[in-house]
Amino acid sequence: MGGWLLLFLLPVLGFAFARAVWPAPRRWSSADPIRIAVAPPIGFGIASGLHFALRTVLHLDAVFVIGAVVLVTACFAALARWRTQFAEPDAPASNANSAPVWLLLLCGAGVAMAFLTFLMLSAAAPHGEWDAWSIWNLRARFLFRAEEFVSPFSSAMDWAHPDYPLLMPGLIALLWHAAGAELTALAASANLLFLASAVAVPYFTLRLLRGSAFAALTALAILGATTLVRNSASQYADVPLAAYICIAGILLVYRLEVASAGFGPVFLAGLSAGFAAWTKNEGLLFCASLIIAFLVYLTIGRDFERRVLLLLPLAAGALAVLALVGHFKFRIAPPNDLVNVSNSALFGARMHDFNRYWVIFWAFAGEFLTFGHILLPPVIVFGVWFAIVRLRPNLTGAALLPLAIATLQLGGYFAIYLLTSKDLDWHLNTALPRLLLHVWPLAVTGVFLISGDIFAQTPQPAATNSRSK
Amino acid sequence: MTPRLLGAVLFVSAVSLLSVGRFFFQIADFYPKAPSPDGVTDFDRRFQALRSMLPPKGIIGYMTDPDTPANDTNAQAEYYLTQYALAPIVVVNSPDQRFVVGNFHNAVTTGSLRDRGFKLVREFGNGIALLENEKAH
Repeated sequence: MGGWLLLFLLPVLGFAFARAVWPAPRRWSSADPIRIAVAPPIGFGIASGLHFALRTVLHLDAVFVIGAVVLVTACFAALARWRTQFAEPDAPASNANSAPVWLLLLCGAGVAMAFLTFLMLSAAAPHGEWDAWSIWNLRARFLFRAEEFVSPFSSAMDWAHPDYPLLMPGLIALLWHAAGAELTALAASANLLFLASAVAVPYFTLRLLRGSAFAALTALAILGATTLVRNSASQYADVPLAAYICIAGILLVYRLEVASAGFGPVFLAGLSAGFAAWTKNEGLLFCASLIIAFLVYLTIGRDFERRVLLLLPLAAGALAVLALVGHFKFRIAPPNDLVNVSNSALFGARMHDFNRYWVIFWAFAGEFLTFGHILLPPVIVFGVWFAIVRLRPNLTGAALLPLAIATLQLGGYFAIYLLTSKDLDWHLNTALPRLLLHVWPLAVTGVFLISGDIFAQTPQPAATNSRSK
Repeated sequence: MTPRLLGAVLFVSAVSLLSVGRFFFQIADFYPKAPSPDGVTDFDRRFQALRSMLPPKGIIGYMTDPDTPANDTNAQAEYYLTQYALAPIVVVNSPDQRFVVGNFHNAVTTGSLRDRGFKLVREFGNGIALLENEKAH
């Protein structure tokens, strides 16, 4: 029972935190669904960070961690309530573009089938699949059962990647501590909430920015990649990472399109980027992709002096979590297995091996065609979509950010494949589909952010009409 | 909305929904045939008695059938699952520890074990045994 109560409390913590750093002017705001959608990952991230700091580093009993979670929730709830009185409008005027009922019904059917599929897969494999019991839940068991915290990071277990960060293992261990037992259903439920966020954050954000029709299409298209549901039920850390990547990119765009939202969404974006790095090593690359894409946007956009201030909350949010990641990486974990057996001479040799470029390029190309077990390759689906719908006539740099971030992230993965010390074919076959999944929700959101406004109920500008004909 | 634009919306939503639906029906078809309890839960239970007699921390060795190929995926999975079952004890995939977990599928006699320098400490059934490596003293 305690575990389920904590699982309920953590999204409350996430919502209170989101409201405290990004205040709303009223008791209920139209941007609150976005805060509710980001609440589980934010609450889970904070709880995992507290678990690491208090239990793994300071060796306090788990009951202190649970007490700290309750205390922090109460503090942020009080702060959120107090900040309501000073809040600026946090949402744009409601978007008049409503979705046709049939589209909402299709979206609802997709969500219902995805949910039922998740339940069946979780019931069939309650401990998750290979990576879950050999990495993530294994380390959760170490953290839950151990009286000391050396063993899970021992080089005697290098096959279990002891350098992988601890957001998921820490969260699951904390839930098990609250439950007093290793309930596999708690781990599955936490993974389901991450999956829900990866769909709900794009849905509710696009509903405000582009209208409910685009929101429904985005949610449906994200779920169309069925590997998202499969990976989530497998209890791999890839869907939590995808959720954090999606939250960070989308909240940044939201703030750039809704200036009155203040610094709060940007701080939450930075925090999510930090939590991405606390979930998987690929999250560190994401922090770099996010910052680089944002810097490019600042450099080529107008109002540089005013917008550059947004770097501060973005960096503050990310650094708050990266401090934990740094402590883990430099004080506790062994070096990463992708780099620790390499040296600069080997890196140089691999960079000049053009056959590797060719192999990696074709692997990426093949994955773009088969990604997600979608009925048709996503490049064809979105190619047809843009051929008919075209781009928004008043396209801004902010709307392009999600696709820019996703492209940079994939470029980073390409570079990692180029330099990896592991067998390239094996590494491509085992990891590439999951790597593309990391950016899928953000990239799909980016596609619909830049699409022509075909659901507009007001007359279209001439440029849009002529393109649409 | 023009018929072309409506077609684009229908195209994207149909491809997505049919993908979700196809996967749903595949899993709905598989689910009633899925083994219950699942393989990991079943494997975990085999090690419950052994885990209860191990100390709260330490390192233990691991061995399986001598004729298992080095790159056998099932054997690798069973080693990982043994670690999953016995955490927080670290299980190293080598018999060169004083105490060793034996996970056997073929019949093994105490005599053959003794010939290889191992003394049977306790047998737990289902091919699971705790062995003592007499060479590692």
